[in-house]
Amino acid sequence: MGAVLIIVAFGLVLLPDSVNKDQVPPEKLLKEIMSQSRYISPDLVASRMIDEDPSIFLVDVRSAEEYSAYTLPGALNIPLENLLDNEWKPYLEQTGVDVVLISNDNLYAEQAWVLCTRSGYKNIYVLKGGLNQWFADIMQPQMPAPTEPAEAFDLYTFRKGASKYFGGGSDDQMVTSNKIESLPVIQRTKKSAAAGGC
Amino acid sequence: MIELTKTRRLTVATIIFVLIILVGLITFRRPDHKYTITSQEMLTIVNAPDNFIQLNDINNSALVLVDLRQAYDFNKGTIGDAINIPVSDILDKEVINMLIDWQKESKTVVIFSDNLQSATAPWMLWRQMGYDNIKLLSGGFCKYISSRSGIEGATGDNMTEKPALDYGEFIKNASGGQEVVTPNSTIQISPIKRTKKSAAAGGC
Repeated sequence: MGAVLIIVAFGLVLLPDSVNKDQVPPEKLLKEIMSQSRYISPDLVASRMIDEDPSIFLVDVRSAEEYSAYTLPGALNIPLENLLDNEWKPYLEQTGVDVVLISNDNLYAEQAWVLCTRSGYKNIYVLKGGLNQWFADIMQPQMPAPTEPAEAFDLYTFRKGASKYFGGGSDDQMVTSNKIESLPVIQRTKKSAAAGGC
Repeated sequence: MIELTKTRRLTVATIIFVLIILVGLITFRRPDHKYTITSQEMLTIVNAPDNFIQLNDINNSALVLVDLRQAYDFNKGTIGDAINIPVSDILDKEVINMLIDWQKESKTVVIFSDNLQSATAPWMLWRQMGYDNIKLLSGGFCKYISSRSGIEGATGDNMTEKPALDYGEFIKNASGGQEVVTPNSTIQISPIKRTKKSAAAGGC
């Protein structure tokens, strides 16, 4: 009888801790909210997609209609209202994969991000500015002013190329030589293994 | 004699029981902040249309305006008689006490930041902690400034999440009538591997 009571006492004391264990507490959620690292720029997403980076996974949180009208290549549709359905859990909770949430702007993506983060999912990102920013930056890049630094021109060239890659097809004159000039190959003679020794 | 030992044992057990409970209650730190609604309930709230207050309606004196921007920006100017609660302070004790008071007085609290997006996450955090009298200012501070100076017309419309252009149409035109990128059907995932804990292996 006494033993049972002691066990029950232990159980009661430990119980409140185990409830909601896999949820991120509000204090930690606030820290995550204040950190701006959840935003990923369209340029970074584009360059990772062009490189066929397997560790990036796009999730479109818009409605099914908007998704079927247009989405980024390879994106999966999880409408915001179904975000917490069990069938999507394995897609949002992956190891070593950055899940990027996409909407037209970042409002829906941000809301989805808060809910995912509360559920304890890691590596969830928000496409900064959403598809609107994507189209402004990648699909319709603005030519930088002549006075801008070289980086701006590099970025512009990258965006032009990316725009072609994603089907934008700019009519601008781009250097599109498909032929790769064959580089002179320097024959390197193999050094013979060090001979002898003592 | 046997009766006596039995009673004594029982007494000892009861004392230990009470002690453990007491120690547990004293040492157990209750979390300062708790969610009062589940994620699923929050999702329903997020998809409801009545989370926003339009710019035209903020002159109502029953509203409490809360500016979530940094103190530096707040001091340069704010909307009406808004009070400043920077995002970093939204879980502070005084702030929570204010929220509780406002909720008791059933005042509607309208929060804003530079734009709607940056006020959304703090708003969701508060809502999940049960302060259901909080609403978002549609558009945010930037929109307020531009509507006041008549740059974009003083509609205060909630323009967020509207596509800037018809994406599908744009791609179709740009790529000379080619097929629009159709959603990929074979999506690969790499699920989290849950490792089974192995039984403790032998020592020496």
